[in-house]
Amino acid sequence: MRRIVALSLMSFALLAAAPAYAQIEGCTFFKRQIDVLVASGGAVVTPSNNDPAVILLSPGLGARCYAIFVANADRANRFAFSDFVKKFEGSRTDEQSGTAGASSGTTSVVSQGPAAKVLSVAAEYGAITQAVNGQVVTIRGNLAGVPSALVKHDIFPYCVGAEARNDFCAPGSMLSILRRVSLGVSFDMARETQTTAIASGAASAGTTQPVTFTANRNDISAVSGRIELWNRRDITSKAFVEKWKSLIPAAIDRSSADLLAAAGTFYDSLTMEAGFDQWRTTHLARLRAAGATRDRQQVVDALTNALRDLLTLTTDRAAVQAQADAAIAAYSRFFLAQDELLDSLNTTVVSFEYANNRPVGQPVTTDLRLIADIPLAERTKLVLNGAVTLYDNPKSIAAAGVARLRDAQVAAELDQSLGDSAITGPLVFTLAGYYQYQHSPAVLNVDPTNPVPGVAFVGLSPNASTVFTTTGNIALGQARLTFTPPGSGVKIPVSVTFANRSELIDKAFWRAQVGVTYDFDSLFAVFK
Amino acid sequence: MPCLLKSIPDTSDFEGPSNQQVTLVTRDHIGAVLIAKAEYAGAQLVPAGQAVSQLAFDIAPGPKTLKLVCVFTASTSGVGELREDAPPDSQFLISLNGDEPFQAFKIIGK
Repeated sequence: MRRIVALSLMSFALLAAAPAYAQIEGCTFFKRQIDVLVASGGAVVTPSNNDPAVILLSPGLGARCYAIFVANADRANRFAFSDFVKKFEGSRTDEQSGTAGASSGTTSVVSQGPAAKVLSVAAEYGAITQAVNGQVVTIRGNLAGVPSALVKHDIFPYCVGAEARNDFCAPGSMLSILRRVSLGVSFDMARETQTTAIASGAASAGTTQPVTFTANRNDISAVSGRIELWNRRDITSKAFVEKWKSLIPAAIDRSSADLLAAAGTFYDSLTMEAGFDQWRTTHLARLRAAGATRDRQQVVDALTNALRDLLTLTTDRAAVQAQADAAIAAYSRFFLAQDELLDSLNTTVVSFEYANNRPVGQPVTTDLRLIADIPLAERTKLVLNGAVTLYDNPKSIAAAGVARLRDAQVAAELDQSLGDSAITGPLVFTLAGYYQYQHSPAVLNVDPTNPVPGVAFVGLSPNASTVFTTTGNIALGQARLTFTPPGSGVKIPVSVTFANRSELIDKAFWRAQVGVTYDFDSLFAVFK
Repeated sequence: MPCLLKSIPDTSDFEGPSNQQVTLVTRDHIGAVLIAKAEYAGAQLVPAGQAVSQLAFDIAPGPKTLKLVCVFTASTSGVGELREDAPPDSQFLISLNGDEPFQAFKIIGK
C-alpha cells in the first residue's frame, strides 16, 4: 500500500513547479505574435487580419493568454502549491467530518485508514478503477490517473508546450508519458476473516452494517505493472484522421461546449466594455511604435501596459477575474480530453508487463510478458504475446525437478471485424493459438485438514502436501465470435477451444463457452 | 464568385453583406484541424455529435460574434487556418493554433 501512495506522490512530483508567468511571453500566443511584430519592425500589415499588432490586441484570437494574464493580475503565484492544497482539500468528500467511528454521535460507523483514504480519493476522482470479482478486489490505474483527475476537477491547470517551464501545472507531454505506465493490485478478501465491530450506539439489530474495505498487505493476491515501450501514431494517415473524427463527439463534446461557453463569456466581457475600441486604437499605435524599434523588451513592455489598461476598463473586475478562472479551467479540461483521445488512438503498441501472482495453494510466481498489438488493416488486428513464468522461490517447493523457470509461453490472436448488423451489432471473429512449454511442474499445495474447494484427489497419499504434474508441451487453439448488441454495452463472446492438456490434467479436451460482459459505465451514463 | 468578407482595418473583425451566405473552411498545416463547436449570432452551427471542416451560414445584420472551438490531431502543436471559400475564390481569415483552440471575432453585416 505504501508503494501505491509513493507512486501517487511520485506522479505529483513529476509535475513542474515554478513561479507563475513572470513575463507575458510565457504564454505561447503572445510570444508567437511578439516574434512576428519584432521581425516586421512594427510595419502596418494589410489586410489587418495578418497584422501582428492587431492580432496581439484581439482577445478573441488569444483568449487563453488573456485569461491567464487576467487571472494572474492580482496574484503573484496563481497556481502556487498552497492554492493547490486548499483547492484539493476543499473539493474532497472523503474527509471524515464527524468524530471518529467509535465515538458517540458519529455519522460514520467505521473509521478509514490512510491507505483506504488514498484509494477512495483516487477512485472518487476517477484516477483509478476498482473491480470486484467474487471476493477479489482489483484496483487498476495508470500513473497519469491522479494528475489527470486533478486537472479534470480544476485543481491543477494543464500547461501548453514550453509553458510548462513557467507554471505550476500538468504538462501534456508528461501526462502522455505517465499514461504509458499502468499498475494493478488484486486483494483476495477471502484470506481474511473480517470482523466488523459495531460502533457504540451506531447500529442496532436489523440495520445494515456498512463495512469499509481496508486493504491489508497479506490480502494481496497479485501485483502487476505494464509499460508501453513503443507506440506509433500517424496523425497524417487517412485511417487515423477518420477514426479520430468519429470519436471526437464522444470524447470532446462536453469539454468543447464548456470551453465555448467559458471562453466566450470571458471574451464578451472584455470586448463589450465601453472603452474597448478606444483602448485598441490607443495601444495599437503604441505597440507599432515599440515594434518599430525592433527592441523586443519595448514590445513586451508596451503589450504589458496595454493588458494592464484593459483591466482598468472592466467595470466588475472580480467577475471578469472569475470568468478568466473558469475559462482557464475549461481550457485545461479540453486539452486533457483532446490528449486522452489522441493517446487512445495509438496504433502499433509494444508493451512489457510484470505480474507477481500469489494464488491460494500455489507457489508465488512472476510473469514477464512482452505484448505487441499490431493493426494489419482497418478491420484486422494481430496481437502477439511472449512470456515466461518464474517461481519466486523454487528451493522452497518440495517437488522433483522444480527450477526457477516454470514455463515459457507464446500466443497469437487475430481479430477480424465482420461489420455491423442491426440485430447483433458489431461482430468480431477471433482465431487464437497458444503454446506453453512447461519446464518445471505446476505445483499445488494441499492440506488434508483444509482441502482446496472444488478439487478432489483420487489415490492421493493422506500425508501428501504437494501435488505436481508432468512437464512438456501444452497447445491450445480457440475460435471465438463476439456479439455486441446495439446500444446495450453488453458483449457476448461464444468460443470453442481445443487443448492437448492443461497444466494440472494431462488429458486432451474440447470446451465450448458462452460469456457475457457488461460495461457498467454505459448503464450509469443513462442516469447522468 | 468573389469572397464576401472584408477585413476591417486595425481590427481582427470582418464585414460583409447581410443575408448572404458565407462558407468557411479549415485548412490543415500541422496535423488535421476540425471545428468541434461554432456559434454565430447565438445559433449553433455544428450539428450535435459532429466535428466539421466546413461551416456555411447567412451573414446577420449588424455586428455579431462568430465563436469557434477547434480540435487538432497534433494537440497543442497543431496548426491550421480558417478560410472563406467561394470557388474559385478563397481567402485567409485567421490562423488556427492548437494552443488557442477557442477563436472569436465579429462579422458586421452591412
